[in-house]
Formats: sequence, structure tokens, C-alpha cells
Amino acid sequence: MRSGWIIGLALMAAPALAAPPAAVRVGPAAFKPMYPAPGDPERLPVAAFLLDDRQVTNGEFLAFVNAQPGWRRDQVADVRADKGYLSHWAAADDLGPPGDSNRAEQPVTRVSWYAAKAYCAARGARLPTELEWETAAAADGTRVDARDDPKVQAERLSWYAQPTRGQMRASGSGPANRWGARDLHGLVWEWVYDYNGTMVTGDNREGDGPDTQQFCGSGAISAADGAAYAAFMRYALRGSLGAAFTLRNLGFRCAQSVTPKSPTKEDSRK
Amino acid sequence: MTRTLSLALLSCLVWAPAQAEPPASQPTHDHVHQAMAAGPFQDGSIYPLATPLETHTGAKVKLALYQGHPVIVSMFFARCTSACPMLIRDVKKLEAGLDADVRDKVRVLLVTFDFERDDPAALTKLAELHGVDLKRWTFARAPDDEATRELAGALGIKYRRGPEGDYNHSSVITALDANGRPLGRIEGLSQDSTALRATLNAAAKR
Repeated sequence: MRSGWIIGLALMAAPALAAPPAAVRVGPAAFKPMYPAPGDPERLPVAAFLLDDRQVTNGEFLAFVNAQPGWRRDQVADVRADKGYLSHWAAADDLGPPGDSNRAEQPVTRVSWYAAKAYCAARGARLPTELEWETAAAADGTRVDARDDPKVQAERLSWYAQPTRGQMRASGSGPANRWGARDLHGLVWEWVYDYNGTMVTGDNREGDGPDTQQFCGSGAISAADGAAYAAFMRYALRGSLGAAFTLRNLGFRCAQSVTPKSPTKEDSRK
Repeated sequence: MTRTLSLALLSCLVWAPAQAEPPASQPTHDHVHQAMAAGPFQDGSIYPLATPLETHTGAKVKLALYQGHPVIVSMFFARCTSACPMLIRDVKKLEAGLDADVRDKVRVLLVTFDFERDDPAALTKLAELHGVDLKRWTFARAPDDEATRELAGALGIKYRRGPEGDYNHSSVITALDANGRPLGRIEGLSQDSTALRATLNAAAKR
């Protein structure tokens, strides 16, 4: 009885002993971006890549911080993470008693781009690019690209309409999409490598042209139609982020490039 | 006021007097923990990034090459035909508007997005084209996109590589104090630089 209690305590204290994320293969694909950058073709080629099927968890990030103490919230340089960094943990090296968002199995949030990037690098991986992430996220359970489906749009938009509250679901608890990735919608926003690649003008009321005084090469994005609104929310969020920013509902997952190999039957069926 | 003053005094004690030019070479002795922790830089300094840079002279330096001086920093690329020449013009105007003794202390660091094509030869050509004082200006590139994006992230600069290899980017001029802490910034071209000029004048006099 007593030993069981001690084991129980030990398990609670240890980082999640859950299985590491599965790497699912996404693409290759020819992705039609909702907001093409100036000069981009209508469809962008996306080479096949590996994507974690779920977000990195608090438990996994704690193990990283313990291995690289420079990433502790009490040691990290200001330039790499703002004051909110890992503030939902009880201490720099302790998740604390389970609460709303600090459980070992929940997606880690309140991490900056620098921190997320470093975590993935420590695993020999990287952050997915925006294009890779959007390609993976275009899918639903059965289709590679479900974005034109009004039901899918409504569902994704309804999540964005809800304020974040209460306890976050565990990382990986959602159903797999066509590629095998889970919770690209409906759980947390996610960092991408080139989060700062979209120029978003703050206000379009002055005129309808691109703001060439602000941005070399133009690039104001506008919500052309309602179907793109969910995507617009993501692009707008990314455009508002700074590299050191941390948010209560912003986490990440890692990706890896696939080593080049000879084309398969699947590759030719684009 | 007192806190800022004591930090400045501390920095004088900790570091050697600033060099007029970036060193010809610098040994790399980054240990993971050292590189990650803030170290001697406080209060939001961008220098802990320790971005490796290759200057227009081919010198290998780190981001803090002008530590000890207030710095005007921005990002550009050489093949940029409209915005970047205007950006550099804006930097020159800002610099010209400084008090003379301040201008001697201030340094300018311009880092390219186009790390692949803007090698030292291209950067030198650009520097000469703009006729700037190369005793106080450095044009540089980072080794890869990741290091470039780390710096852009710290400066709040957005950019994206286009299909032809050109870059769409925002134009931002940032003033750093002698310890690499951002003091202010101008976003957009041909903006009013009065405030930033005053900030730099004040920073240089500390």
C-alpha cells in the first residue's frame, strides 16, 4: 500500500512517460495557398516531409529544459523568450500539481519561437514551414484537402470563435487526419519556422493598395472571401507574433525533411 | 535613472574598451549553456543571440561586434532596387542628424537577407556605392536562413524569399544601446526620425 503510494508520487513527479510522437509522412503535394505571396504560382510544390502527429508536451519540454538549463525560464535571455515563458509551470524545473495547462501530457504552450526551434533542433528535427504546416492542416479525416467543404470551414471557425478556457485536451487526443496528424485544428495555435514570412498591414481603411512604404515588394493580405477566414486567422496571428512571444494557447510540433530518394508511384500521382 | 547609470558603470568594468572596427577574427568558444544564457547582457539585449556574421571585409564576427557603441541596425539585400536604397538613405539621414560627437560613437550594422548571393564582394560593392564611412559601417551576412531569421525575429522584421530569389520584407531601423538593448525603432520608409535621433543622442552621451 505504502510502496504503491510512493510509486504513484514518483509517476506524478516524472515527466510524461507517454510514447514519443509518431512521425507521419505528409506530401508530396501541390498546395494552393489561400494567400499567395506576390509572384508565387497558383500551386506551390511541397516536398514530402515528416511531421510529428501531435504537439510537444509539457513533460517533453521539461526534459529538454533539464537537459539544457540555458532554456530554463529563470536563465533564458530576454531576447529569446518574453516574461510569460513557461509561466504556467510551478517552477523553472517543475510542472507542479496538475492544473489547466501544466499537465505533463498537455501540449506545452507559453514557449517562444526560439525555444520551440531549439527543442526541435535538440531532437535532430526542425519546425515545419508555414507551407508544410498548412498543407498538413488542409486535410480532414478522409481528404487531403478539405478546405472547400463548408462543414469543415464552419467547424474550424467555431473553434477560433471560442475563447480558450478550462483544461486543455492532451496532446494527441484528437482524431488523425488523412496524413495521420492530430489536432492541427481545435487545440492550440502552432509555431512555424517562417512565422514572420507574411507581411500583414494593420489597417486597410486608408486605401486598397499594398503598403509599399512599409514593405518591399508589397504584400498586404486581405480576406477575399469567407471560406478563407479560418486561414486568415492563422496568418493574422502569425503576422502579429514576435520571435520571443509566448502565448497561453500557442504551442508547436516538430518536422523533419525526408532524405531524397527515388520517386515512388505515389509521387507521380499528383 | 540610477539603475541605468549603474548598469553602464558595471559594463565599463566588465568589458574592455570597444574596438573601432570589428576584429579580423574571433575564436568561437561557445558552450551550449553559455550561448543560451543571458550572460552579461541584460534587459532585452539582442546580443545573446551571438549571430555569426561575415562582414563586407570577409571578417568573421558575432552580432555584438559593436558592443560598447550605440548601433543603428537594419536588414536589406543588395538586389533590392527600391526599398533598400531608400532604407539606407534613411539610415544615412538619421546618422547625419546626430550631434557630431554622438555620430563618432554610433555604429551602423546592415545585415542582408540574401546570405547566398550577398557575399563580401557584393557587400563591399554596395557599401562603396552608398559612399558610407566604412570605419563605422558594417555590411554583413549570416551563414544561413536560420541565423538570418533569428536576427530578424529579434528586430521584428518580416521577410519572405520570393520565387526569383528576391526578398519581400519590412523596413525597420532599430537603435541599440552600447549593450545591444533596443532603444527604439522606425518602421517603414521615409518616416520621421526625430524621436530616434533624440534617443541615440541620449544613449551616446551616457
